Amino acid sequence: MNYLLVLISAIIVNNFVLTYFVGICPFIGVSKKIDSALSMGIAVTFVMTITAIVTWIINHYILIAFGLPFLEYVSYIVVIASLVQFVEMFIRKTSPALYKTLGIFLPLITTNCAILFVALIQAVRELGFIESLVQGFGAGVGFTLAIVIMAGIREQLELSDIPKPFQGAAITLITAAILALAFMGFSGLTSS
Amino acid sequence: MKQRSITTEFAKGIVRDNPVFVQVLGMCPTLAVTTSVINGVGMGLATTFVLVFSALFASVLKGIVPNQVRIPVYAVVIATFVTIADLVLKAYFPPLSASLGPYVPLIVVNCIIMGRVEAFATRNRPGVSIIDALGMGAGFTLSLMVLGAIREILGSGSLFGIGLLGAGFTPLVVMILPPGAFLTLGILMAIFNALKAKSDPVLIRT
Amino acid sequence: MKQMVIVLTGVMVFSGLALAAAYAGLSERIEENRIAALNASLAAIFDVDPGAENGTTFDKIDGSDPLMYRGQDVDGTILGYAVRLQAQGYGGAISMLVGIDADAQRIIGISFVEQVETPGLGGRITEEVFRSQFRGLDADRAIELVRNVPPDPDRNEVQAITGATITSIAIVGRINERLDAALRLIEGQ
Repeated sequence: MNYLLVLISAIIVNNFVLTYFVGICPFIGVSKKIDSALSMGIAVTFVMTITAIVTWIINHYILIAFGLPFLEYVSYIVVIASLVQFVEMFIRKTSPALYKTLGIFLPLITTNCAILFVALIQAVRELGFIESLVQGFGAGVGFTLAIVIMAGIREQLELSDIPKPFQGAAITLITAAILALAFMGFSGLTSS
Repeated sequence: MKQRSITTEFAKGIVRDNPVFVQVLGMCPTLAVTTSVINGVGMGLATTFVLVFSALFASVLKGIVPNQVRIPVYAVVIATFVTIADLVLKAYFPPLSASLGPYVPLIVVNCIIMGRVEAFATRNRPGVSIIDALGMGAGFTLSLMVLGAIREILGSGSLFGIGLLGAGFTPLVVMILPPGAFLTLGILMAIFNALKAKSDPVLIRT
Repeated sequence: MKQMVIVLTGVMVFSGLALAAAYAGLSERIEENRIAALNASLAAIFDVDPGAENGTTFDKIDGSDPLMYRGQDVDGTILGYAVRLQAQGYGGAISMLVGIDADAQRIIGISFVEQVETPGLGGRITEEVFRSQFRGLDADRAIELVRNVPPDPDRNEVQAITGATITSIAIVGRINERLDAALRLIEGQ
């Protein structure tokens, strides 16, 4: 399969947030300001790419090799939780500046379903190693794109007079609906 | 007195602290699987199962698990029950399992479960924790059913897979696509807020 | 520290044991479901009652690529072949069977083993209206996909599902891509 196709598909056509609804919690929770949205996006992309690689190796060399499919979910969640912890420690040691921007977002990533989804979907789609890596990275970029666009819109919305019951999550979801509608225009771009 | 408190513990999950409309938790299954009522009910019940057993476990183990490792321990416990739920679905409800697809394993990271385990089960007795979990599960299942019903009626013109609106009705296909999911939930949430504001003006969340 | 190790080990052991037990207890039934789903799809292709005791057998042809099944009736007459194909649809992988007659001339039917397309849109590929269009098409010519106009079977045409073009393209594209290899295998039999 063409890697560019996998990349474009993961970023815009099958955008994780807008077509698979994963990573919605941070998408609604951390999309008030563009810069924090961007930091969250970068942190997610980083962890997602590493998760894609590590879970691919675990799936192929441990779970499939030893016939233990029933340990899939348990091992993935353990890997993701330890990975996030490890990445946090690593960034804190090596780059205090980066830690300052990303630090508070990292613990939130453990329960970001987009990360687990990336691990699950590569097993279902039977992707190769490089494809998994590209898909993990692309999905992260797609998440960043969606959350930054949303933050941009919400910064404008701050200034508008929204009816009280719609304030907060409700208007964010309706905005997401319009965004999802726009992203549907990309479908068909990379049908395989 | 005791009777009343059990009822309140259970009922709070359905309206006052409804996990979907008030706490805005568990968004990904809420949006993803509610293309039909059946899917919504299936996901709701599977989540309730995991929630009840994880809460029971966390509540029983609360004095034993060291604080530093509690999150990984609970994550493993939750993932274990999710796998069991997944295997049961695959064995006894294959069509439902197929249509829920990867959203069953995603119950592992459903914030409702970790949230209830952390905020309630680790601080309360097993009995009350189970009631709380059942209430939250019921609130979640009901929310998914409502969303599933609206989307199925408008998007497919049917309910529980039975044709409802007749051949003259052109289904609003967008309702079962991603935009319809966001739109329905957003509007329902606003209605929920409006109703809550009417009954208790202080409680409105923004 | 000691307690931490004990608790972690305890939880892991519990989890491993519980899952191994659940898997041991349920895997047989899951496998049965999978086979039942496959058999139902095969039966649909060869137009026989699924599960009926009519002696029809479906044998997997070992090592064939694409994977194929041979359908035989009770007397051993070959009814045709079913080719197992995977396509990447809108919602995920679509696993389907394409039936070819014994002479490798015509498509006798198509059915879906697994699919997760949007209900009401791509999900409508499982409906008879869509599937029946493939019956009788030439197996050695490419299938043409048309939109919004009635298909002409003489020109090997199939009408795409409205609003589910991606799913339709994925299916027809995959058939066109892989059917030749299957035909050659049948002719070699």
